[in-house]
Amino acid sequence: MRILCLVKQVPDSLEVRMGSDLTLEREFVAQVLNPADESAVELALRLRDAHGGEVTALSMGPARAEGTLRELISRGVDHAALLCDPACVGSDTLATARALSAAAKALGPFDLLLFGRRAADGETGQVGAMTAALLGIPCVVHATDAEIEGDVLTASQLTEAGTVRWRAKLPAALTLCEWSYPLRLPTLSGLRRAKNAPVAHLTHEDIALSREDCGLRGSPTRVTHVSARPSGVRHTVWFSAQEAAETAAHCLEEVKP
Amino acid sequence: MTTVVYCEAGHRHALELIAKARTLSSEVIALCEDEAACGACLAAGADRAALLPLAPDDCAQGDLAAAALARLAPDSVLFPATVRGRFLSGWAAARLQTGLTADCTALGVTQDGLLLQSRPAFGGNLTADILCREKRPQMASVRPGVFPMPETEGNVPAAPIEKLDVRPLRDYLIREGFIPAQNAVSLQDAQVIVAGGKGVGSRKGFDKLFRLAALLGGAVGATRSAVDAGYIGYAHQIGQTGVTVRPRLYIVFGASGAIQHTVGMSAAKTVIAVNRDRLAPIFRCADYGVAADWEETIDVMISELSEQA
Repeated sequence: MRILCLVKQVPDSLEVRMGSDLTLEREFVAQVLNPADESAVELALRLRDAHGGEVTALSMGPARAEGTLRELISRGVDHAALLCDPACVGSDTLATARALSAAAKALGPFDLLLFGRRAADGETGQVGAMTAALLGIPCVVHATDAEIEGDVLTASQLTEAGTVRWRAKLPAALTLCEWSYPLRLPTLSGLRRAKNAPVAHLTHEDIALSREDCGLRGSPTRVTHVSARPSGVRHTVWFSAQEAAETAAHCLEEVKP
Repeated sequence: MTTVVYCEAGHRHALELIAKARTLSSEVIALCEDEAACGACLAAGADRAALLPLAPDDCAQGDLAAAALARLAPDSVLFPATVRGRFLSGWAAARLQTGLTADCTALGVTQDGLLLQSRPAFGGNLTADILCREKRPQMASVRPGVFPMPETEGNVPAAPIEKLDVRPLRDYLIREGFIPAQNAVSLQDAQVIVAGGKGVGSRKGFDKLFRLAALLGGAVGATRSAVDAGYIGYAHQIGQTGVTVRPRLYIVFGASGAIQHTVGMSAAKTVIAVNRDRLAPIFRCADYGVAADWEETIDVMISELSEQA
């Protein structure tokens, strides 16, 4: 079985700084693996351990994202590649999905594509579904667990109303929720391997992606303005617990028809 | 501007978008998964209703939505940002090779007639305004509860329902089963919400919140860190990555006041916050503050309200 994990390096804190072109500045804060991607990687490793095969981790980002990929090798990922191309800077969700689907084709074929359900920084949570749509493969988003038997994937999807169980034939894609599979620790041999393992740096040409489809040029949406959010500040009256109960009861009276 | 509002079967949140779309567009078309939704959307002010088939397979439904949108060729499309609505919008946008702005919290129209889409990012610390200048349709998903539910009058206009002849391209997924969430709550419809943060400390702690909520006839909500810590299920999550709520009364225990959480409750009419730390940011969003241990406070509230009951 060949599994591809699409991962992202995100800032460790949610403090932000924007560049003059309104793209995010990512240089000033520690970078970590996106939390939801941890679930995706751990699921990939468990499926590989159970069924055999190989796990490849792919990221699109600046050169320093290589650090995150090497860390994943130390935790058991077999191969890693970084789509690292100035042409891809400023990609919106569609341009990102295009790049990832092109990379999946170029490095593939893969039986399973695993994503985190959303990135902690941009928080759009659309790239997994859009990549699967571009590849035309089944996709289950917001998955909390998954199994594979033969060439059939079964996955649980967390929704507002409950959990949906889906079945699909491979190849397929999943996006994983944050708290589903805690990522295993690095091993000694993994750490040794991570030091020297090759991590290919790819450009749009390497994955047969047209320059027109990349980055800002290939992105139909554009951020035109960014502001710090006004945070609904209220004037607070200080209370005791008894007063809080009375106020709650009073509000309740108002609610009643 | 012509705007299509996508309406999932059995969901009412599209009605909020119909009402909003009327303020932005010259024509509002409801694209519905069942006939009941068509009627509800027309009553809420849609000019036309179009019916598309409902596939049991969400990926196939995404193909159907894309085909229907290609047929209707609107300027903009709004999806409710439910887990499924967000999936369908992403799938359809990729199929149509157009721009999508997920989880919008405000919409407007620019001077040159473009859909102005605003969404929070970075845990709600920033709001970004986003435009899709050239590609059509301009697609956005909108968080349920961001816009108020319209007051609908009884008389449904007798606009014809247009049945769209679109077919699924192929099968992707088989729906095997569904397990409803425990304590299924409709946070969005609740008049009273009792919410807890990480400070509540355990599943057992949340049991007390459920007791208070029962006394108040309300629902239980939680912050992302409480959900991440496993104290309560995701269905209860309020905030940027959960649901947006607008209850009459919102009582919150043991939450710090991360923007990620407060963006989801800022529309509440009255907010009571309980936190031992008088300087916790949650108090900035509260009408009434109790600077005390959450558990002692809830015990007092439960006993006071039990006596009154």
